[in-house]
Amino acid sequence: MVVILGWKSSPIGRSSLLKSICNLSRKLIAESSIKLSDVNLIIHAGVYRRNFRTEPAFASHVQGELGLKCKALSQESEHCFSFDVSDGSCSPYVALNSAKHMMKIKSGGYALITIGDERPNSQSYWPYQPISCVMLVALEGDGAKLESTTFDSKSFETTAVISTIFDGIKSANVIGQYSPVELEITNQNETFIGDTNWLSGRHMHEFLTKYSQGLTKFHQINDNSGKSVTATWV
Amino acid sequence: MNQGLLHSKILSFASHIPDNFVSIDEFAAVGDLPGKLDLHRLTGIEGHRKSDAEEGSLELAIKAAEKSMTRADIKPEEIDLVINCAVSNLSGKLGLHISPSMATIIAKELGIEEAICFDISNACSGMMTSLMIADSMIKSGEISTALIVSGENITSLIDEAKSNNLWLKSKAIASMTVGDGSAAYLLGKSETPNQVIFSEPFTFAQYNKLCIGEASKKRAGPLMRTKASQLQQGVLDNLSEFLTRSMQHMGLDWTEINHVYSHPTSPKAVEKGAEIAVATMGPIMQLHNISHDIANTASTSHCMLLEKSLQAGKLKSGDSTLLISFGSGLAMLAMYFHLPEGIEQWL
Repeated sequence: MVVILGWKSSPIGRSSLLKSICNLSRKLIAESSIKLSDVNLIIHAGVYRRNFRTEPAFASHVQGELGLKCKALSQESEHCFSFDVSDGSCSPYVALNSAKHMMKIKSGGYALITIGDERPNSQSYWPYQPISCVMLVALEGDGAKLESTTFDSKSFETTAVISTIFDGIKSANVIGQYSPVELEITNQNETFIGDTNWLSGRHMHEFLTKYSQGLTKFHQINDNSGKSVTATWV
Repeated sequence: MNQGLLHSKILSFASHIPDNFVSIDEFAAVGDLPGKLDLHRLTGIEGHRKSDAEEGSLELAIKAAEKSMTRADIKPEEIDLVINCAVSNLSGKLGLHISPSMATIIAKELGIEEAICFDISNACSGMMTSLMIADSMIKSGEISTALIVSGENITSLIDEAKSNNLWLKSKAIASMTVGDGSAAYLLGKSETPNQVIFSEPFTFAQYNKLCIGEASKKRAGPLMRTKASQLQQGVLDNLSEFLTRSMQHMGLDWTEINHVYSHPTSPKAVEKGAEIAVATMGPIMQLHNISHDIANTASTSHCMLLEKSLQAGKLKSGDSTLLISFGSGLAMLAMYFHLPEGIEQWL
């Protein structure tokens, strides 16, 4: 079971996503009982990156900016592994489940999960005010424990897929238009359900805030595409 | 269920290698490049494969996935995890797919209705990273069968590079070493242990600015900027320790591995790596350095080479195989596996 030992979030504001994530990560580690060098896995979950960057993984930029184990390999040296996951606004739970498996593979240690998005370019329509969220997770310890997740693609519609188009007038690759799926939502078990127009950082910020206040242990994220994920925490 | 009691194996793999071969003389002849650079002599690449005009990452991925499902005789309803790990995720019209995961669309096209679907992005190491997570999910009992798939529609990078003054933007030249293609692996349960083993995965983030892929600022589609020699040196500087440590971690005897495939940034780069491997580990039984006519196809590269070896009749059931992966970031990891039974009969 994956456990969130600590988390921090903040609106990205005028900062870059990388700066926002790294500032939060440094504060989170400083306030925790572990050292940065105890982290050996970074997974970033998000959809939008500056200038629609596709490689390398954003998580490798976080690792580099934090200066985490950026050294040559030897037979005894300790290293970090970094990669990105995405599935619309359901991405945070993909990251948490991936972290669970990677921490088993890497035999313990701690993982840093970073969640966030930023405006790809000024030419793209951007109605969002993204929130960055970072979580320090492990396979055991005190904190919110993710008991189960259920992903559902049954209502997914290809008309809701988001991709870039080239806008000849703006002379730029921009976010294309799409038709969001209107999901019929039935709330059960005091499940916290965020707005379908939120990006994933805000989903986790809002849920973890309510979880911390003891208001809910159930979380559902409904993506604009019709996909959803339901999580049970203990 | 306890991890360690369950085992996994590769049920099948498949690549779609586009028929359309484009010779390097058609897009990077000696006179085309700064300083009369001879890209063929420098890299060993003779050309690449180019997908059809309307064929994007999705269409390419589906071709490989369908072939892998036929080879393993797996039905859509048997698949409970789909991971897409393409770097490009480009449509035929050069639109970059953003959300939700491309894996979700691939699954829908294939009639896979109940699977968990998501994308992993780790540059050219995305395939190994995805296989590693799928392997752990099978060994933990969470799932039974996983489809890991990628379609790389990346030869538009060549056109983007050529639209620049390459004297001024030499970092675009490495874009000319790419090719289109797709890959799929089916991973399932096994009665026998150690059919699939992974190395420790590493990210050497000190090299994370040496290869950048993002949207072009002036035309449809992506661009790539690479400090190729520095990135290659990063790999070579760590390769000896990586191989020694990985063989120990995986409990393998290097000299008993039947087939070795390295990520082919270029045939010449693989040759340099092989020199280090032989000096460190000893002779390689069979190194399949055969990317000269398909070039670097990013996350699909190992599977593209496996497909070529298969077509050449080089692969036998049960043969041990090592895939060594490098990706910008810089990620390094390896996967060892046994070739599926009945591979000789695959179409």
